[in-house]
Amino acid sequence: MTDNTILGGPPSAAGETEEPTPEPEPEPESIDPPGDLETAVHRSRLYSLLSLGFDRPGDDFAAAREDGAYREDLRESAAAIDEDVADAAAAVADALEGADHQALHGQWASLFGVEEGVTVSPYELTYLPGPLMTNVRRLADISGFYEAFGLSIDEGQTDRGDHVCFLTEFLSHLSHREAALRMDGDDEGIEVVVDARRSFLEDHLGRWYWRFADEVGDHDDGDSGFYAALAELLAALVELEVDRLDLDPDWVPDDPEVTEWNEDVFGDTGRGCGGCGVDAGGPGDLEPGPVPDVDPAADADRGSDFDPDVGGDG
Amino acid sequence: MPKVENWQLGREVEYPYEGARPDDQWAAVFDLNKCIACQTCTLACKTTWTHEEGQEHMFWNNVETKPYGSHPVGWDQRTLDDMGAGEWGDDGTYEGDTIFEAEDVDWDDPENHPQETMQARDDVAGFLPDADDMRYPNLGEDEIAGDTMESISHFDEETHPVWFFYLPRICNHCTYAACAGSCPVPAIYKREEDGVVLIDEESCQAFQQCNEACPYKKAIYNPAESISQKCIGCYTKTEEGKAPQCFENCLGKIRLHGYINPPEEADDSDPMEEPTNPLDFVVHQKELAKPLYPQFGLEPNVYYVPPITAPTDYLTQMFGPGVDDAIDTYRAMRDGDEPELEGLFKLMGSTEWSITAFEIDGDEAVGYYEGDEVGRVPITEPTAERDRYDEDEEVYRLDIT
Ligand code: SF4
Ligand code: SF4
Repeated sequence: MTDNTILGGPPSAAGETEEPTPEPEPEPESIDPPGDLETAVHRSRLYSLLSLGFDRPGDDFAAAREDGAYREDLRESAAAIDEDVADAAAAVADALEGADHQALHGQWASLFGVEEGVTVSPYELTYLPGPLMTNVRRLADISGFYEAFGLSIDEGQTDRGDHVCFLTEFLSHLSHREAALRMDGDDEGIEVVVDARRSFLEDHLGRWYWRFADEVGDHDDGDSGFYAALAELLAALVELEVDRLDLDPDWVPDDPEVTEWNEDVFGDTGRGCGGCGVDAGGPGDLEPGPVPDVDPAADADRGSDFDPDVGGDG
Repeated sequence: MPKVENWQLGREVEYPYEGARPDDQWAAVFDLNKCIACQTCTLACKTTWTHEEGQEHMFWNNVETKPYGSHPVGWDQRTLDDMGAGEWGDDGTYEGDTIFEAEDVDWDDPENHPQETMQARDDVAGFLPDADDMRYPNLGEDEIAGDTMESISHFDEETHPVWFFYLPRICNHCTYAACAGSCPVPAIYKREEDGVVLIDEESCQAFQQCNEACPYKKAIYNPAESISQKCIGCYTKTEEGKAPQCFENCLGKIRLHGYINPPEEADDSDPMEEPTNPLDFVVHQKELAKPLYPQFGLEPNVYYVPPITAPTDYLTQMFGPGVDDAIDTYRAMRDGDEPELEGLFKLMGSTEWSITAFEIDGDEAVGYYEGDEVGRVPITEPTAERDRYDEDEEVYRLDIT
């Protein structure tokens, strides 16, 4: 057979024939997952307090605030973690001082409550570009994380899994487990939970926490400013996490209009399921780009197989 | 030099590469008489493969209403226009130009090779869909053609005066794929083992030649990734013997997945006697299922059973000659005169497996995947009739079958 045929295998794997014994992939150097017992405990508590704070104020939150316990815990845990986080926590504690339940409840409702039209969305999917239909996969990914650690959303809970309360609660859970595993000296286990926290932050909360914080900051016009401060604390903590875990999350677009992605076509019903594909974030400019200078021979050197999972990490 | 044998056109056709056939050729039969445009196939594919950013406009499987629907807009009409009219000879030979012939390019000249020019799409008939063309996947849905409809209209003719039909479309994993044939890199290849046509994402350099060259417009650009992507025939499933997602999930049970041979190697056995290749049986022995726009010249491998109530001039343009005979055969099957076909068509959609052979066993049809029985169905569904008046319960029944 001549070479002039379309039959064959992936060209990018062609280099392999010249290298009959490809170098084995170097084992990834095992570096100890960053962190220690103490910060894990405090991080767990901090995430948990954040989760409680972003939930609709109820009996649990009221109980936690009794005798200033919530503020104290927040301060203590933040201080054990990092200076910037500690400053942010102090601002939350100050904002909470003297805030009464009614005012908090009213403020929560005006920000996140469905009764006032969910001014600021606490849901991840809202911040992702593209139509809902393609984004539900992200929701499935989140549920996959919960499931992998034997967690599920309580029967009575009507909120979706991408609510910021669930995300932070999950991160609290992972940190809690990490602490327990560190006590047992279970290195393998520690790596698993730290890896999960890494991917979860990189693929989810790390992508949009800053947009969320901006939105809350812009809309929290309550006297206490508690929610704006709490969102800042969340941002400070996640930022620290991104830094310490050396993450590179793919930031969502900095454009509030993204939620109305095809409003121009469908008017108010703009954010539909996207099943019809109309301007779904758009094929964009399909005009051919500049023709790259390609050397087919050189291209054969790229050493990776065709990846059937075109969908990436979904 | 690069002239390849295209049995669908009854002649050699122009193509920039040598004609080599894979060991097996991935293939499908779609019965258009049964498609209800529920789009379950579309969603089965979309949620599996094209749910990421940059893929929003991508439908590796789409279902359009004919004659007025098309995605991307006007894909078939515009390509046919660009090719110019072509006639079929009485012996079934196509006398017009294919997309590789319409521009009169001398493919024997090495200077015209797609890897040399890097602009092969200029040398084949067709157009490059733009963003607007991709915007309306349900354009023309359910729009009727022909006469106007009155509330008292009823049809006595076999060919209906008012008509439309649904056309589900996927990549045809063409024997002479234009996507692969046009790629300058080349990053597109046809797998030797099963003929599935794939884009190597590592190699794709976004030349976008395939986006235009594929006349079916099934090689689609992903602006987020700066690569083109296309249907992969769910090879991850077919390698395990399972039918692709859009086949397994088809509500109308219109789809059959298997492997086809060229006519001279076709399985000519009798399914009444022994297990027979169902693709060869339907396409070659019975000539019931036809390729989509064979005149494009790519030897596409999805074979359609034409809708029996649509006008046959339109169907001939779409599926080539032999449509009238196919319709007669289909009617005969419905009248019980083609028990082998009837059995096979009952097997369609009855199993999640690909079917590499089938046979008729008494009043049952049996499907096999590489020798293992994977489906068994009665050719005639057993029915029971009950009395209209139930004496015990003292009630009348509305539903007695
Ligand atoms: S799932 Fe089957 S019946 Fe439904 S639109 Fe697709 S091909 Fe037609
Ligand atoms: S239908 Fe188009 S994309 Fe699929 S193999 Fe044929 S030319 Fe390529």
